[in-house]
Amino acid sequence: MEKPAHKHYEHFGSGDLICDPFFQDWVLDANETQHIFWQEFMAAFPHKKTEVEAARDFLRQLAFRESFPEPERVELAYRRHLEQIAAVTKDALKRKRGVTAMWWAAAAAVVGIVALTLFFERGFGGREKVNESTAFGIKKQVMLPDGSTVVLNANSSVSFGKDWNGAQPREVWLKGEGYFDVKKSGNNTGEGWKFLVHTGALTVEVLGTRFDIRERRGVTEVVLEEGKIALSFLNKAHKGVRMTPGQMVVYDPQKGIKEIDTTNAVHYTAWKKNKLILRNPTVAEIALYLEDNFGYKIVLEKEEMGTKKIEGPILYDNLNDVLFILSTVLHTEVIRKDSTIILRPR
Amino acid sequence: MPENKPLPIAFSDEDDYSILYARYFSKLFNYGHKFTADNVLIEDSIQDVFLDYWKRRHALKEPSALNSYLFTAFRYSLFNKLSKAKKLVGMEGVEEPDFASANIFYAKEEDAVRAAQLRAALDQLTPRQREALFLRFYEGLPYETVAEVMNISVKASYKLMARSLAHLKECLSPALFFALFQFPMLPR
Repeated sequence: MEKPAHKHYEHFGSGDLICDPFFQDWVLDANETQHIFWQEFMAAFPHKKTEVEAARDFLRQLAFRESFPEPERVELAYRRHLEQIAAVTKDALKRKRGVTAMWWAAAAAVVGIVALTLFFERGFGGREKVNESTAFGIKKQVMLPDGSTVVLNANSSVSFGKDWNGAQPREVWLKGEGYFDVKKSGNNTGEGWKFLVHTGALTVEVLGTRFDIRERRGVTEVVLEEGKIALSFLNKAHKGVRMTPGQMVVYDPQKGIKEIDTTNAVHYTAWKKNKLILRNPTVAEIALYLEDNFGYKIVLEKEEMGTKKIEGPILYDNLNDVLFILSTVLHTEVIRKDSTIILRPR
Repeated sequence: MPENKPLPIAFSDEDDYSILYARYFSKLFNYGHKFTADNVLIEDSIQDVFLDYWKRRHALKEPSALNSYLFTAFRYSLFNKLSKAKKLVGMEGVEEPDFASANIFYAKEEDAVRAAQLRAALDQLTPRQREALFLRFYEGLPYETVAEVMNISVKASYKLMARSLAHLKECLSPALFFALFQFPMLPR
């Protein structure tokens, strides 16, 4: 909105001010310019100060009853929404199939739809698939058909076939982060029953073991706690990796594969017990982790705050506790606005 | 997803989409609850809106229009469902859904007399006036968007808001307050 002149408001009473959109904007969501404007106005017309303050307080006190849905309801609704999308996409695909032969021009569009269908079938299950997912701030233990378990971290999902028979490998698709406890080969053939976990970029092959996969922002981390696993990558330029307990592999398609020996894999799987333990994490790393798991955007007002290292375990099941610790260590105040959290130097 | 980041229109990333969904689900659910307590009806409306949005997300080029689009479509869908439901129970002829007065109040008014006056003033507002106040002062939408959501002209939205606030502002005036306080039995 165009900034008016101070003089414009010279004869405004509080009643006029509350009706003025420019004044309302200041009350609703003040920025620096607006602050300065109204400070200058009150300085120029001191007798208007009480009017301005009365009008501001009046608008600020206007309140509304809030009725927000429980997180479970939102999560369920989102899953239903994805099912609806999958249904729509399938219908569209059926209709297209009849005519594709004639329409080379339409080929590109169909490829798009096929890709989408595959995406949703893979990620969210056709009829015989099970999909489990978690919303921000929520964890869940999922039982797989063979009795193996996955603990899903927040904002994550797994899907898998409803029934597993010994003829097929056990296959699970993961988005986000999951901690797997895999039963040793459940079929009686003597052969190991393959267990495969697919993420966007790689596949983990296991034979009864405990390990953690975290796929966030395109980077996949696998930490092996016990047993043996082998990784293969979607990008065939990379050779497979056999992992031994205590080892961690970080895969970034941009930077390649990094193998790290960690004496204490438990640190990386501690999130199951609501402990955020990263090895000498920087504040920026913690911020990213919180964003991934709680869905907040975290803004560090001074960039150098991000490089500060923090040691020791932080309980993370309570976002407020983490923010309190961060604000104490960094000497910042915490400003929450909608889904953004700002850390501002005190 | 933060307000200042442009909302993605074509979602390469499913995570972004789920965040967008969750955020607007909460917002619209809260908005819908001002008109009805029927969670199922509200949720059905949200699902309709999002399915439709998903189908034509590529046609929606302007991310800033998203807020306006989702609120407008949701209100339309919810009001439709509400009027259908009313017809089913034989309550035809009822006009727009009622933005219940209980949803709006004045926080932190310590003076009991003034609080009672404000309550009375809020109760006297029409449902549409209350809704306009909600969209403007709770959701922080600009007048243009309030107008679009409520399906009125921008000019009409200014008038609607000004009338509501003028009505409330009477309670602001110390002179009137004093007068009412002095002569509480004053005939109307």
